[in-house]
Amino acid sequence: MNDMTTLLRRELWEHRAITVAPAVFAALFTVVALLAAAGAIHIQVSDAHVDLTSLLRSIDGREMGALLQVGLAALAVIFNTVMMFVIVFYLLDCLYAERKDRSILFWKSLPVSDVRIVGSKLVTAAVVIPAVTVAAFLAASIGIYLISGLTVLMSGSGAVLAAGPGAIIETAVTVVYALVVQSLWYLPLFAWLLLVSVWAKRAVLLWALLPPWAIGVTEWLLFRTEYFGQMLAQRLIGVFPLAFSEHDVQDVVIQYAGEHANMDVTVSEGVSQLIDPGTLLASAGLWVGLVVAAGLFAVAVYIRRFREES
Amino acid sequence: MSSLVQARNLTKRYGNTLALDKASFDIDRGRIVGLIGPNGAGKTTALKAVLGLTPFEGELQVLGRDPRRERHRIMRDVCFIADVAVLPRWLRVRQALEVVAALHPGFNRDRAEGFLAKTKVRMDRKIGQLSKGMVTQLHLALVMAIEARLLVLDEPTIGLDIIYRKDFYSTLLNDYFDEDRTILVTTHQVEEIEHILTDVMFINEGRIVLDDSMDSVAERFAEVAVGPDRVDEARSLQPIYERQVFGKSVFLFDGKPQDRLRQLGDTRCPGIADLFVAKIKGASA
Repeated sequence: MNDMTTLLRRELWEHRAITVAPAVFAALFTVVALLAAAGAIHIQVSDAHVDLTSLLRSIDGREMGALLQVGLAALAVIFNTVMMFVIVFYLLDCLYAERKDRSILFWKSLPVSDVRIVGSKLVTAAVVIPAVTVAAFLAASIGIYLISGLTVLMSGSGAVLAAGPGAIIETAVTVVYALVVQSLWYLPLFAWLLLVSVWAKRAVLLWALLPPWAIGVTEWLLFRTEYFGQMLAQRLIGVFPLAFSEHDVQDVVIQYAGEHANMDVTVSEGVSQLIDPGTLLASAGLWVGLVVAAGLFAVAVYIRRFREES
Repeated sequence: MSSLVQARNLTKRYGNTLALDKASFDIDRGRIVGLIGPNGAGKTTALKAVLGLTPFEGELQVLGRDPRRERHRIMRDVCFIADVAVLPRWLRVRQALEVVAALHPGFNRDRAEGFLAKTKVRMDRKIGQLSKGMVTQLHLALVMAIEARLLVLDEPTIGLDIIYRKDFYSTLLNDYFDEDRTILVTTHQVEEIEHILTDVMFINEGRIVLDDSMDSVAERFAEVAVGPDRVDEARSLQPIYERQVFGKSVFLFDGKPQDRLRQLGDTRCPGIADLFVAKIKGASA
C-alpha cells in the first residue's frame, strides 16, 4: 500500500493544479464574502428601505438552514465545475507528459507494474482530486459561514451563526455522495482520456474530442440517427437525475416588489434527503459504463507496457 | 547458474531493417561488459530487449525470467540508466529519494544521501534546475544505492563534460562494482570505458561479431607495425585488417603465434577502438 500512496503523492507533486486550482477558488470566495460583508453593513447604514435584519428575523431557523444549504449547494456546483476542468486536463496530461519529457524511462526503471502506475492515475482523477476539492469546498464554506454569520450577528441576529453548522454538514454529506456517484458514472470518460493520454503523440485534447465527434457525424451521415450523441449526452449529464430523488425538498423563491424582497422558502430537514442511490444502482448505464471503463483501462495499461519509447 | 543474461537468436525487425539478427550472448555474474557498435547497430535494441522495453523474437532469460512477461519482477534486481536526461524535471531531489525509497525494495536511502553529500546537488532543488552533470550525479547516486544484480547503462555519459564523464566511471568502479554486481554498458566513446571492462561485445548490423573477455582479447589479437620490405610476408599470414601509419603498414592479426609476428616487426596489443574498426570494416570489406 505504501507504494500506492507514494504514486498518488507523486501525482500531486507533478500536477500542482490539483491543489492550487481549488485552493485559489476557495480563497476567492472567502474574499468575495468578506467584501460582501463589508458591503452589507454599508447598505444597511445608507439605505433604510432594505431592512436585512428584519428580513432575517422574519424566517425561522429551519428556513435559515435551508437558505444556507441552497447557497452552499450553488457554491458546490462552482467547485465541481472547476474540478471537472482539473480532472480533464490532468488525465490528458498524466501519461502524455512522461513520454514528452522522456521521464517514462526513469519510471520504467522502478519495479512497479504498469497496472499500478496507470491505476494510480485513475485513482488520482476519481478519488484524490474530488477529495481535495471537497476539502477546499469545506474550507470555503466554513470561511463564508463565519464571515456572514458574524456580520449578521453584528446587525443583531444569530440566525446564520446558529443554522450554519447543520447546513454545512448537510451539504458536505450530499456533496461527497454526489462526487462518488459522479466519479463512478464518469469512469468510462476518465478511462477514455487516460487512453488518449497514453496513446497520442501530440494534440491530446484534439484526440480526446475528435473520435467521439467523428463517430457521431458518421452515424448521422450513414443512418440519420443520433444515438451515439444522445448516449454521450446522457453520460455527461445523466448521473444526478439518477442518483438523487426527484422531489424538490429545497426551494427558494425570492420575489422583488419594488425595493422590498420577499423570500418564499420551501424547506425540509436537509438536502441529504435527496440522496437516493437505488435508481442509479439499478440502471444499466452505471454497470455498462464500468465495464467500458475496465476495457479502456486495460488497453491503456497494455499500451504503456508494450509500446516502445524511442 | 552463473549466467545472468542468456540470449539466443534475438531478432528484432523495424519495418524492413533488422535491428537484431539472431544475436546470441551470455552475460556472467561479476563482469563489466561493454556492448560496442556503430550507430544503428542494434546496441540500444539489445538493451531494450534485456530490460523488457521492446518485443522481440528469440529466447531471452534475464535472471532466469522472460522480460516479456515478468518485466516488473526483473526490475527489482536490474537497474538502468537510459540517458542522463530522463529524470522528471519537476521532481525535487528529496522527492526523488522518497519516490525510489518507497517504490524500490532494494534501495538504501542513507547510501544515496551519502553519495549526494559528496556532490553539490542540494536536496531542495528541482531536477530541472540542476545542470546536466548534477542530474547524472543524482541518477548515479540513486542507482548505486540500489542492491541490484545487473546494472544496464545506455550511453550514460552522452552530452556530459569530460570531467563528469571521468568521474562517472571511476565512481561506478570504486563505490559500486564488486563480484556480485554485473554491469552492461553501451557507448561509442570506446576509449572512455576500455580500461574498466572485463568483457567486450561488438555488434554490427544486428549481429554479435565479437564476444570475448578482455584477457582473451589481449592474447588473441596483436597489432604489428611492418616495414615496406616485409608487407607481402605479413599479408600472407591473413591479417584481419591493415592500415597505414607514418609510412608503415600496421596489420591486425587474430590468433596468430606471437613469436611468429614478432619476426615481422614491433607487436602490441591493439586498443579496443582499433580492434573495433578492424572488425567492423573488415567484415564489410
